[in-house]
This record gives sequence, C-alpha cells and structure tokens, in this order.
Amino acid sequence: MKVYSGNFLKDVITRLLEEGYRVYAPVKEGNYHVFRVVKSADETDFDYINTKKSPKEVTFPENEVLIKYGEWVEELPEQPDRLAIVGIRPCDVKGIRLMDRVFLEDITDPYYEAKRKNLLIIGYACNQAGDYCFCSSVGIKPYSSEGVDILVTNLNGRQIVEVVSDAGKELAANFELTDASAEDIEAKKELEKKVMESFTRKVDTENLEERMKRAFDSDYWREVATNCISCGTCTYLCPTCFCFDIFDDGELKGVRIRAWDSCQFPLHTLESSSHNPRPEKWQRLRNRFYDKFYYMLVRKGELYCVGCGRCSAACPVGIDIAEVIDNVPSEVE
Amino acid sequence: MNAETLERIKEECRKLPAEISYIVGFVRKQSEPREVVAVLKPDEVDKLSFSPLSFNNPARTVMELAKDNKVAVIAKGCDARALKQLEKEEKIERENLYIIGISCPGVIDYRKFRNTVKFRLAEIDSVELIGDEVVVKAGGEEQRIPFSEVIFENCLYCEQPTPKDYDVLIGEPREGKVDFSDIEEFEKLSAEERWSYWMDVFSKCIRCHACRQVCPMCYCNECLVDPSNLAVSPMTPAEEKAAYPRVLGRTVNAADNLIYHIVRVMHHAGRCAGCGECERACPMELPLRKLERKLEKVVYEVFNYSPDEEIPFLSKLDILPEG
Amino acid sequence: MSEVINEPMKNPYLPYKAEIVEIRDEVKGIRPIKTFKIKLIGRERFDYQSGQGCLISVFGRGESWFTIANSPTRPDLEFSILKTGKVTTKLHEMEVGDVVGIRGPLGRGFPLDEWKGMNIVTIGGGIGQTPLRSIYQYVIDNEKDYGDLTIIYGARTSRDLCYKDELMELIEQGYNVELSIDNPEPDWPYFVGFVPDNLKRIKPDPKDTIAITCGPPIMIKITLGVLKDLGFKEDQIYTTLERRMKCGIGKCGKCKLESVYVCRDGPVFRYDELSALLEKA
Repeated sequence: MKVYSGNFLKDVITRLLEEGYRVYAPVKEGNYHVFRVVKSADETDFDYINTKKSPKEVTFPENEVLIKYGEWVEELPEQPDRLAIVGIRPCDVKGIRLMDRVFLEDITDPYYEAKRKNLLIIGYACNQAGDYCFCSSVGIKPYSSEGVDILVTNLNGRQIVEVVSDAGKELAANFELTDASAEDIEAKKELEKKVMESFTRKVDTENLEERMKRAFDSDYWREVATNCISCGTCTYLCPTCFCFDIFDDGELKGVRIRAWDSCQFPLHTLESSSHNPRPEKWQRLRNRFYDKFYYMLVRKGELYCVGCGRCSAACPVGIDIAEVIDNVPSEVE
Repeated sequence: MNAETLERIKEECRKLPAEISYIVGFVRKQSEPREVVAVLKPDEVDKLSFSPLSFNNPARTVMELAKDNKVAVIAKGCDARALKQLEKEEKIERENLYIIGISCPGVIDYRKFRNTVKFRLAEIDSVELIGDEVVVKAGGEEQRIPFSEVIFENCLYCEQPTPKDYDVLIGEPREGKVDFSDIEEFEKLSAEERWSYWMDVFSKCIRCHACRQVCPMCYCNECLVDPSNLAVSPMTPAEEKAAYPRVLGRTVNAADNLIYHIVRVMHHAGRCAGCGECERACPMELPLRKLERKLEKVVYEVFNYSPDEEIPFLSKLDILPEG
Repeated sequence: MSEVINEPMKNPYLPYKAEIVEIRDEVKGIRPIKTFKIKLIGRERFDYQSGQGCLISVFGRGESWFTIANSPTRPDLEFSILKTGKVTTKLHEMEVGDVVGIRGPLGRGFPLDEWKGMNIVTIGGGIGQTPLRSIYQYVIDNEKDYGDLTIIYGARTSRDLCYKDELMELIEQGYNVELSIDNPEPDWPYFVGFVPDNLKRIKPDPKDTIAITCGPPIMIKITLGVLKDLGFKEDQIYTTLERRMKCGIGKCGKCKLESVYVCRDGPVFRYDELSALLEKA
C-alpha cells in the first residue's frame, strides 16, 4: 500500500494521455457523472458516488460497426491500441469481469477482446454507499481491488494507491509513491468498516436459487410488472446486461452494426412467423430478474447483478431490483 | 398537500360505488420516500399514500385496467387531463372511471430533492408540503426545504392544476395559466445556438425509449420510429414484412436521435397532457418537455387550441383558422 | 486492421463468401419454399453435423438462421428456405451464381454417433422436415451402422410437402416412408390426417429406437404425447428448437431460453433437457 501526495487519479490521466492512451474518465454533465473519452485531466470530476451509465460501453459500445460492406465485405473497423478507464468503482469492475465471461468464454468475441485485452483499469474505492447501492449483498466489497490494475482510495484528502497488476506496477513506476504508514493502514481499515456500515439496502440472497426456482410461476411477477413500461432504461444502464441486436444499415452499401438491445422490448424476441416467446410484459420483466439471479447463476455460477442500483434509481415507474429480489416469495401456493 | 389530503383520499375511497373493482392510486415505496402507482382492491385503502412525491401519472395503468373493469383513480390535474384525452381518443370509457381529483400545487422534482435533502433516502419517514415549504422528517429530525427549490419545473407552467373532470374533488380549486415565457426566452436564441443546444441534448440520448413508453399518449401498437421489425401476424405476407418502412435503425447518434424525438413529439400536437413523465423518465435527464411545449405553443397560437377543449385536435384542423 | 478480425475462422461474425449453385422449388404459392445448393468460394466445404445451422447473410438485408438441409455425407450445402421476411424475400429473388455470406456450422447437431445400432424414426411436419432430411440421408449413407429407418412426414396439402421427388425415389427403393396430408385430396394414395395421428397408426416400437420430431410447435407438442403413449422415454426423443437469432455464437441473448442458448447449446435438444426448464419451451 502506497501513498501519493497529489491527486493520483488526475495525474495518472495526464500521464496516460501523454503515452497515447484513449482515456475514459468521469465527467460531470448537468446533475450526473458519466464516463467520457477525455482529452485532459481538467475535464474530469471525481466527486460522485457512481456514474449514471455503467462503463460497459468502453468494451461494448452502444453501437459498434462489425463490418463495412458494399457488394461484399469491404472493411473491418480498426480497433484501438491502448485504452484506460480511470475512476471505475469496484461494482463496475465486477461488471466488466462478468461481461468477460460472456464475451471471452466459449467462442471468443474478437471485437470485445480487442478492446478488453488493451484495457487498463484504474479503480476508485467507495467511501460511502449510495442510496440505491447494495453491492455488499451480492458479494462485492466496495473497496475491492479484484480485477483492477491500480486501486485508489481517498483517505482524508490523501490518495492511497494499491498497485495490483504488472501493468499497474509499470504505470505506478512513473509516480513518486511512499509506503503507507501503520497509521494509514489502520485508518484505511476503519474507512472500510465505515463504508460497509453505510449501506441502507440489503438483499437477502440466502437460498435465493431455490426461492427463484419455486417462485417462477407465482403471480408475484405480474404484480411487480403492473407499472412496467417495457422501456430499456434498466438494461441500458446495467453494467452486466449484454444483449445485443445485429442489423445492416444501408441497402447497397453500409455497415453491419451491433447495438445494445433489451429483453424488455416486445420486439426483442419476435420471430418472423409472428411467434413471440415472451409476448407479455410481465414475462419480459421476469426474464430480466431471472437472468440476473437465476439463469446466469445456473450457466456461469455467478449472480449477474453487481448491486450498483442504477436500474432502481432510474426506473421511470419505481421498480426496484433490491426490493423485488428481497420480496421474492419463499412460499408459493 | 399533506396528511389531510391523504385522509380525504382514503375517506373517498372507502365510500366508492360498489361496482368499482380497483383503485389506481399511490403507494409509498419500501426503501425510499417516493410513491409509485399501484393497483389496489377496494379493501386495501389503508395501503394508499400521497405526497408531493406522488409524481407519476396513473393514466397508462388506468388505460390497461379500465378496458374490462370499473376503476377509481386518484388524479392530479395533468393526470385527469391525460385521462380526458384518452377518453376523446376512445381508449378509455368515462363510465368505467371514478375520478378522485386532486387540486395539485405541483410535484417535487425527485432529482433536485435527492440533491437537496440531507438524509439518506431510506431514513426518511415523511415528506409533506406545508405552506410553501417541503417538510422532510427522518428519525425525529426535520429539514425544511423551500418548495421553489425542489418543484418540478414543468409545474411552474401548469395550465390545469385542478382536474377539469372529476367525480369528487379534494382540495380548493387552483387557477392554471397559459404561460410560454420559458419557450419565448428560448426562441430568442439564434438558429445556430438552438441547433447546437439540441445536438448536444440529443447526443446524450441512449434511445432506451423510456420517454415513449411512459407517455400516456404513446399507446400505438406500432411506432414509426421503432428500430426493429414491426408487429406481424401469421398471415402477414413476406413481401410486406420485407418492405416495411423503417425510418430509423438502432443507430444511436445525435442526428438519428433527433429524428426519433421530433417524430415522436409531432404526434402529440394538441394531445400532450403536460404531465412531464417523459422528462422525469429520461435516464439521461434530457429537457424533453421543451420540445413538447414548443409544439403546444404553436398549436395554441396557430389553432387557438388547448387539449382541454372537448373536441379532438384533429377535428379542429378541419376548421381553417381565421386570417 | 487486426488479422484476427479479418479471418472468418477467427472472427465468428465474418461470413464465408459463397455462391448459389442450384435452386429448386419445393413449395409454390404464397408461402413458397426453395432449396438452395450453396458452394463456398475459394475453400472446401466445412465439416458439420446433421442438425447444425448456418447464418446466411445478404448484405444490406441482414442474416437469418437456417438448419442445414442435407447430410454431411453429401458434397454441397443445402438450405430449404421459407419466404417469410426481409432476408428470405431477398434470397427468393436470387439466382444461380449470386453471392451470399455464410457463417457456420453453428450449434449442436444430432448425436448420430451415439445412435449407432439404433432404429431411427423421424417425424416431421412442413418445413420442419429440413433437419430430419439431413438425418435420414446420413442414415441411408451409413446404412450398416443403423437399424430400421422410418420416415414419417406430413404437410397441410400435397403441394406443401418438401423434397417430394426424393421421397418418392426412396419409396421406390423400398424405404419405409409414411406420408400424410391434413385433408383429403383426389388420387392421394397415403394417409389423410395430422402427423401425430399417422404416428399413432404406424406405432413404431420404442425398443432400441430414437425418435426425432420437428415441425410446428403444436405438432411437436401432440407428437411428444403420442410418443410417450407408445412407450418412448424422454431420453429417446429429440427435437430442434427455433428462436430469433442474431449472433449465432451464444452471445447476443436473443435466442436465450433461461440459461440455454438455442443457437449454441441447441438447436438440437433431447426432450429431458427441455422438460427440466422452468418455462415450457
């Protein structure tokens, strides 16, 4: 554990930009923060609980050209050399790791891989849980250094730097870091304890797999879906929602694009025959919750929710993932 | 809008006509002070809640429910306006509704509220509007916030705070006003300034379609700007499916997003209830009401039409405006 | 431009270039079906299993999933395609010599190796015969490895039957082919009635037998009931599922049925795998 006397997050951005990285960092836009490609550390602002959109678009952009075509394939898109994301929260790092399992396991997705393998991750530990946060309920520590190259913690105005990977070591070598004192280490432990106590939301994941399995045919899902408007807000803001569509834009000449899609859209699964496996909105809503808390658990052995709370905070009709999962009935008639 | 209003709502709901099978009202969320729209049975009156955080418009939920049921609905001015419009468009039958109207002083902008309130959301016991202050109580503590600091901006220009059509009204009627001063201010900008303003706005849109989905007027089964295939039946010929016009793909960029929003708004001429659900729903917090209000202003000035008239806007188009 | 992305074998989104070398009309009318014989340009045909699919690409229109309609023991790839939407309407307008893109083979096919020594019964309806045709061709080409072959196939009318010439030839050669149509027609010498009723009449013996059924969802549902009544166990019954598909490689989530990707884990499923799911497929 090291200590940096300046603003490590900003200085690291300056350094990375000098080295030619494409840097994604939090920028304040109106009332909220989002990750944007920045040209200077001055554009950034690190005073946030979390960003409005998840940073999944760094490796999985909302629109991505797969192929440029005329009569036949004409060109494939260039992939960026070196990417960095600075200021990402531990829940979102977990999000990227869950995305990795979708795009890199089994058949490798080369477009995702090209960006992911060149991505440097500078994490930023949380000092306080937000009003919708519940990462601690899904097995994530808000100060976890898992999956980052470097983790930065704000400790009473000073920045604690934990160098985790070889790439992180290489980058950190450019900065004057001093060893953390025993006091610092103690203070950081105190801070970690304080963060864990700052969660106002908890989700009971005890026996969840079994509860989900039993509740599948429950009327509960129709009730939860009463106000659902089948928009894509929850899925688009989510760090682990990975569904996409592929379509051709341009009849004679154009681009084959992949674009985020949402299982909440009625047309997502509509077949040309007019058959739709999930025609009702409650079926689509149920699908999202089951995908996060049951289907992906069966397929990958992990929950596909990182407890960032973005969907709950932004849902236009107030559907709240933490409440919904917490209230899954354990007894079903 | 305080505990008294809620008591009056409950009182009215306890003496509903017997043929009412559901109440569409507001229920407080478990882990935060806001209300959400809920469908309740008449014997669940005690679950009802109401506060300046009962900002959602229940019209959409009512439209689905009132097809086969008689429904009582708690409606603010704009909610009632949306119901009226849906009635004019034959989406709802008035006889299936029992409207408990609320004379509305405006609702809270939850984003502003979250930025202003000093408590954690989960700690808040109650949020009330007393006089022109919002009184927030949490664990024995209290915070008073001037209503003007957290009011939903759209409510400042409300034409109809009191429902025009109701079965019973709660609260003293309030006067609305026709005020387009915000739009007039915006119109003073040069074309270039307005263009760059909107391109900046639309570059942030992620096309989640929340604005369309939440809008009580966007009830079409097929939408011109749907990026995917349109609704099909087993009998739809292949050629028809192949030749479906597709105005937009799933391409997300400022230019395409602009088409999406403009086309959507144009279909609201003379119909928009002004509830502001679109703007509230937008996860990227885009100023979508500005587009709607510009259109309202045009319709008002050119056709002298307001959605409160008893006739649908389109029939108004049959009558040439004077001059 | 990265090399990995530029190579179809390594970039699973990049199609092989292929040429249509033959087009046969299977069914005419308002819901026409054509069979396309396709040859890859500049490379040998890839190896595949019966039941696997490919995504056929028409740039400017998109891609659609089709099950390969013939056996890997035959030289070129064949696809039987119902004209139903954007891509298929364009394909139906195409001619011999036109170029299409092809991505495949995708998904899991039928475990024909496991079935060695067993009797094979295929039960098909309409265009659902496509994957079954690949099976019976394979079994015929490897006749010594399998027991008896029974081909049960039906369609709404005699005009809606696919692969008619081929099936007539098989009948002439003495294969057990049981055809049916839903309603009577003059001069129809075979069974009249629904496919499951024909199955009930034929009563295949479940002993050492594998039954594979494919067709409209309702037909599959009733067929499964009849098979169970005849004594077939769930692990003796196979079917293929259809979903809207885009990526074809188990990523995009369109065809996801609970934890299962139809494009990657299927489209072939043994019936006990499906009955274990929460939602009935």
